[in-house]
Amino acid sequence: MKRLCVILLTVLVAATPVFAGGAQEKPVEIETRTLTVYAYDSFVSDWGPGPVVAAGFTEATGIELNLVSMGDSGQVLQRTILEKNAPKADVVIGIDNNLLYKALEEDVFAPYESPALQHIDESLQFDPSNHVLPFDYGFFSIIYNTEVITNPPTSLEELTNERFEDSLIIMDPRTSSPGLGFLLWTIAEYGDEVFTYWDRLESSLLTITDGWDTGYGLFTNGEAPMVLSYTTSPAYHVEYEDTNIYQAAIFDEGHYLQIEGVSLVRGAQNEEEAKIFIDYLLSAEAQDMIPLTNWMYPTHSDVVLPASYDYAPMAPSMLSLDSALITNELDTWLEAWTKEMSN
Amino acid sequence: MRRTRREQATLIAVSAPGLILMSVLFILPVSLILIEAIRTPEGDLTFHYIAEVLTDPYSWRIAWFTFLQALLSTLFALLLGFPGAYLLSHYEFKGKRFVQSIAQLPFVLPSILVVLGFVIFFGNSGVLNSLLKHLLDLKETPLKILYSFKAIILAHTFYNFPISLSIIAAFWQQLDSREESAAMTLGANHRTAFRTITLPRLIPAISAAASMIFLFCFTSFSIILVLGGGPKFTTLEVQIYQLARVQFDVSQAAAFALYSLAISSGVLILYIKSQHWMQKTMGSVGRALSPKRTGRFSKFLIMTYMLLIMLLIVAPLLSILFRSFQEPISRSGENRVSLRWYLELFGFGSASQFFKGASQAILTSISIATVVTLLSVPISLSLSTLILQLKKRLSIAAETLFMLPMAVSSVIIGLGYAIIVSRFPVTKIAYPMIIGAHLVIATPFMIRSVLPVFRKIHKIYTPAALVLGATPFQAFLHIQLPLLKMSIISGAIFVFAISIGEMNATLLLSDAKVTTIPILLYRLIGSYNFFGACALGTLLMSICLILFAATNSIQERKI
Repeated sequence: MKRLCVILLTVLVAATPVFAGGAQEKPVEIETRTLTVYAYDSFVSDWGPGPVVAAGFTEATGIELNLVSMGDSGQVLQRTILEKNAPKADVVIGIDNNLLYKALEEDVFAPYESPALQHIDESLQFDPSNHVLPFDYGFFSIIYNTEVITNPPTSLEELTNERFEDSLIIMDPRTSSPGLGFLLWTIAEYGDEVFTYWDRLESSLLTITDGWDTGYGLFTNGEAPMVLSYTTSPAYHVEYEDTNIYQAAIFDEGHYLQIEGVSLVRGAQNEEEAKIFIDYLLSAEAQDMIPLTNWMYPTHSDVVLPASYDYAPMAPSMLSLDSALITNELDTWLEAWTKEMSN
Repeated sequence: MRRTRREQATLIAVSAPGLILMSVLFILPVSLILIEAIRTPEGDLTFHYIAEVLTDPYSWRIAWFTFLQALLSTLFALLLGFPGAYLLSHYEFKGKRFVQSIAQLPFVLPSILVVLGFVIFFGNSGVLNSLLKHLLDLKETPLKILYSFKAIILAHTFYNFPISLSIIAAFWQQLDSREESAAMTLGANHRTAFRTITLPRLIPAISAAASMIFLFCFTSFSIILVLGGGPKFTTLEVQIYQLARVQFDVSQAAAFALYSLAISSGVLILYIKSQHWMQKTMGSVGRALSPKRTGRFSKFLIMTYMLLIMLLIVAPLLSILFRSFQEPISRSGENRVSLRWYLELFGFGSASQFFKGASQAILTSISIATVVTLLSVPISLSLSTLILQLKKRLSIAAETLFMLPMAVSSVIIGLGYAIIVSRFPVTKIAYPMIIGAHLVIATPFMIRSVLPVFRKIHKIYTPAALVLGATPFQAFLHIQLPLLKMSIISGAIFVFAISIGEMNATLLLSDAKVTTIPILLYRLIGSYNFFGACALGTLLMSICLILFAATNSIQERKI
């Protein structure tokens, strides 16, 4: 019996800090107003914009921010759809141009014509109905190691050159959003001929990873001299590692664009606060935090980019596909791609 | 065996916590998703989705590939584990404990680090190739191992042969060696004795190890995609992920999951049968082998095997350790030796932005894993009691059900949790929920370890104690628990490892309010910091290595 008591006691003692920790993190529910925001995981991470944006927002407005994440932006949208009838979130961050149509189709967001939109270039306002407002954007691009490649490719076509045999790491469009972005990029450029392009590209591919993180990790470990990422990736290495050996290959035909948006949830419990937050996220103050935390370009036209962004070149032109087309054709494209790459 | 009403009530009371946990955090969420496979959007019964999968040649192809790669991986993991099992069970040698501890390490590492470590070592520009290039003065990459079918098999072997090693070794050690001696006295040589006596008796253990390894390889994900090199190697798990997470097609995903589940349940039942069979073979009065001292030949064998283990397990893990002590240096892109990541890990760094939450994450992970490990003991014991008390068919069904979390696609469990979280305010009690989810996922490993011994005790010692006048509780405390200690300890290692490495369920149930080591690790990599991730990974490995070594030494002392 004694032994059993000892075991039970140990369990309890071991459990105490955990439950105490849990109790501490509960928001204190006095009269402060709290806003619940869903975002993808890297947004809320210690290194993402979440913590700084939340601190700035609370300081400016006195409203507490409850930042919640459940994975990537697809999972965020999925959760929002599941909660459609009794929404728990007021604001959702992370619906991009590829997910836009799906979100509109499910009708989970309410339109909001934020006054902050006047500072955003019209070409970036990807949802004319204003259900999803653009807060940052970026371009997919091939990043190369200048120590290995002195003469970088200048087009998607050149990537198929035999001098790049086994040199490129990309991501799987079935499991990764940059991977999907790249597939859409090739579709935007080659249209119906896209899979003959992939046929030519195949010999240049070293591997296709499940996620961006693994692919980029292999690249920085020297496994391949080129990787699919964003034009802003080199800026990170300049900012934090003081090296410019990694650079973005710029393609004259243009780069596929990714725009990320912030949305007001339909039926939000704190609609008024939600609108204040959206205005804040689009304001110059918050937009200033985006480049070095989310590694994307801010949409606010007045924000001055940090010096490291000299190594994050803008694409000469933007490529994109219609969001409705993506939602309707995605299954077919993914199936065709998998079939093509399986041979 | 007829039970009194009182006994029945006790049985229900004892097994209730485990049953409730299983229902709420496993059966409910998984059924919520799987039911989508046979339901139209309007809620009517349909076999459309199931039929669609069955008639599509592409799904047959991926199902076949999933099966084939798992089968081959299992075969190689067995081949590699077998000699090790022989050495571990027959000889006493220096480094034995080290081998046992390190063999379990790959399990605790998030798959991303396993893949990275593997590529850093075996990759085209990896350590092995650079070394060979340098030594042999070559221009071309000498060993193109990765990004092919064989890379998948190699990585799976690396990841899983410790299972065959430990299961077969543990069984072999307890096998009665007198039969071999008898055979040899009668004139059989070593080889004949092995072929006709030892090997047949090892088959149950081999079959148990094989089914377990097969299960793991069957649901493998990252290794297949990254090391295989692309979509020509697609498994059912990848297909389920794509359908559920990218195409938002839950019905199709559920249909695929049903098939996957059917196959893995079959394998699970094979595993359970093998364990019963092991028990029968072992008999009740087995005289355990006493480990021999090493001779010259066996020393050579041990050295060779250790070298192989070094190459397969230690080298990829060491590459992670190596990277964690590196820091990229300006312009030239050369790396230099640095303690930067470790300093920042403990808050001494200059860039306070990094590792802000690292020590907290380590503490959280260890606390959760400890609580889960401790709770898994009573839960497993209570569920095992239930399994043993049920009638034959029902007993096997219950055992399969409790082990099933090992075999269900994590994408499906994740989707189920998403539904639960969206309907109920469970994230308010995030910690208990996370601990519960970890328990469901990890308890099968404890049951796996405890049940065989429990069954034996249950048949022999407990009735004896009861006949001699002990109450059931006394019998449990003084007879069962002490006899179970060893298997509880070895189960605990696995439970701890599974809990400390778990990420998906944690992320979903906490709304990202709880940061554990794997979550932090993925976030580090997601924010370009691979060196930092390697440092955190190294720390995770060290913690587990110390724990494993400690438990292994306790085990050894008690024997």
